[in-house]
Amino acid sequence: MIGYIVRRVLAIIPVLLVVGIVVFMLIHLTPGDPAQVILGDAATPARVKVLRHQLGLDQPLWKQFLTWVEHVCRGNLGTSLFYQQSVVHTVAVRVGPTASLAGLAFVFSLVIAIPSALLAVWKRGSLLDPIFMSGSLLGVSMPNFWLALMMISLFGVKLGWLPVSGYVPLDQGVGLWFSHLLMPAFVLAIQQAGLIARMLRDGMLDVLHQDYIRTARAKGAGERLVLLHHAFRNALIPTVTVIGTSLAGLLGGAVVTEVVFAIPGVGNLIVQSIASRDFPVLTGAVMFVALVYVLVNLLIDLLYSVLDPRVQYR
Amino acid sequence: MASRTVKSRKSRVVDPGDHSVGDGKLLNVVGLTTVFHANGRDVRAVDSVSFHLSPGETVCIVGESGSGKSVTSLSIMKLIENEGGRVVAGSIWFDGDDLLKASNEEMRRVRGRTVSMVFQEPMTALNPIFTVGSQISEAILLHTDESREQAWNRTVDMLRLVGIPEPEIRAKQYPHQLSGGMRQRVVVAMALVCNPKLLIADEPTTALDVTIQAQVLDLLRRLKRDLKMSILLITHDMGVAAEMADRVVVMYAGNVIEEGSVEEIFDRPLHPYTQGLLASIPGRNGVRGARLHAIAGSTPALADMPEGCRFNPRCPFAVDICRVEAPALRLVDGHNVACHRAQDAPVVAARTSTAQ
Repeated sequence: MIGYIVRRVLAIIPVLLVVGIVVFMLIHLTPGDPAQVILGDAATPARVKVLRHQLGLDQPLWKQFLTWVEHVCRGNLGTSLFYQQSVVHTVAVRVGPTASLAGLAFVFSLVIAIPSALLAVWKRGSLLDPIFMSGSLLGVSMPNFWLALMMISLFGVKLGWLPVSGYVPLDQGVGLWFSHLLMPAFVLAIQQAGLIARMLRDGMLDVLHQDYIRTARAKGAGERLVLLHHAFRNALIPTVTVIGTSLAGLLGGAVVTEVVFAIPGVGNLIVQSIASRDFPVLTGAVMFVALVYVLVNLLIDLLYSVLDPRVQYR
Repeated sequence: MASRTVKSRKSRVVDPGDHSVGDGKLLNVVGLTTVFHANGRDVRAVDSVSFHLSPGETVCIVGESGSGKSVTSLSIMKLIENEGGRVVAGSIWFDGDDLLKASNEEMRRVRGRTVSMVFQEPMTALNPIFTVGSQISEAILLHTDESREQAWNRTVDMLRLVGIPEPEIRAKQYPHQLSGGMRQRVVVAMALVCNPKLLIADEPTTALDVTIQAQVLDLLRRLKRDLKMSILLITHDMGVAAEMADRVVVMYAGNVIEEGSVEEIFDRPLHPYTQGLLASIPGRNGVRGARLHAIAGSTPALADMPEGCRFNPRCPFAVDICRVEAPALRLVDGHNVACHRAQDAPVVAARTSTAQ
């Protein structure tokens, strides 16, 4: 088990290297000169040339890449072209809001998904099932930004119950933090919940046809025990995969939602750094997202071995 | 039995309402009819099936796949609804109560406590994510007030009783860590841990290899004696029936077509189908290398049952009446048979050629 974890952690390195190469190439192959962007349209060619030299942008691409890799290996992701701060710091201050939003959205999605899936399975064959199915389909297919704008105009503008946008850190008061995150977290949760609930429902219906469910009933287990104990635990195994990708996606920054609600998170940072051609920050942010994905996936794989005794890592 | 043999040549129609509470029968199934809904209509998987079982008795229901034997057993447990079926007529008297009239909660208390069931497939009958011990304990905790610790101790004892070595260790293992034979022993232990009066075993040895089969059958026989229970054994294997049964119920296409003591059925099979079944056992009074006997044709589809006797299209002795009128179960020569021609010369002659 320990050996497995060590090997999985080591395997993160090549993944990040590949992600780094792809992002680095993508940025340098797209048109747009950061020096020009920084200095603005009025800059003289001479000043742009000087800045290009200062930033190392006049070097050959392979040399720029090697320098970058060398710095990354020393833990130095470079300096933002815009903020005059280290990339690590720039990304790090964005992790708080994103983690808050992701965490809350994750909890919401589970709180919505699990009971509604259980209800749909419990009342299978009744009218509740098609209602559940259309509900989950609606949740999955409703555009984030549309739901966000509708909620803002209703709860933020018309009713004035919730702040329209923005973010307040946790240390300035839980109430403020929560009220600012309620709408964006809900918007994100609806989409994930639709996916998770559907997966859990299908998984449970599938499990209910298994022989061991019949065995459980034959020994006198009631419907509640069959559903909550025997079927739920088994259906959780495939569902955890979806829950994992959902969590990774949320932690990696919910770009649209963060922009609509003006939450200074990683997703927002990615959009900004693309717009301003802030390559070091963009690379750093994308690598952060990649790291989150890899770590969450590792976590999910380890969770399998807890949920399913047949899964063993050596 | 002896008194019945005396009135041998007389026959009488068996009264399907022939049940009274406290007549000494543990299980009395009367006119059981179970349907499945398919393509917009109900098809009868089990049609007016009646049989009974006395305390301490082992009754085998034999028949091919699709004869309705498993549907019958699941109907008794009232688990058939989970498989998509529905009991539409009949009654199932168990120990003085009609199980078909029992509420879900009453039925839940019967299952696993007074009537238990062992299924065919030991590889999939156990929940893969719980230890076998916890699955057996669950049965105890569901039906008694015992503490978890008491239940666990009883679980370990039960595993020892069904012949599992090192039961303390095995109890903490998961199903995938046990062999097929071991798992079937675990399933048997789970079924018997609450000391039921009746064990329904649905093809308990079909999925096991031959040596393990014999072990599990021995185990069932031993436990039946030690725990003083009755067994309703569902099988397609005439060999298993011969070895285990006190009485045999032969089913074909959802009907009981013959019923009698194991000696009666094997020595004097009256129904051409039973005769065919016995004749198709390899090695029975056969010559090595001889062609195996097979009953021509195949079981009719539920949705497409033939008129009259359901066996008539495959029956070598079928005459006109067989194609129009369904034969009722009647007493002939000491046991019950549903065949118009059971007493006619060619069918009688076929008995001797197929019997041992």
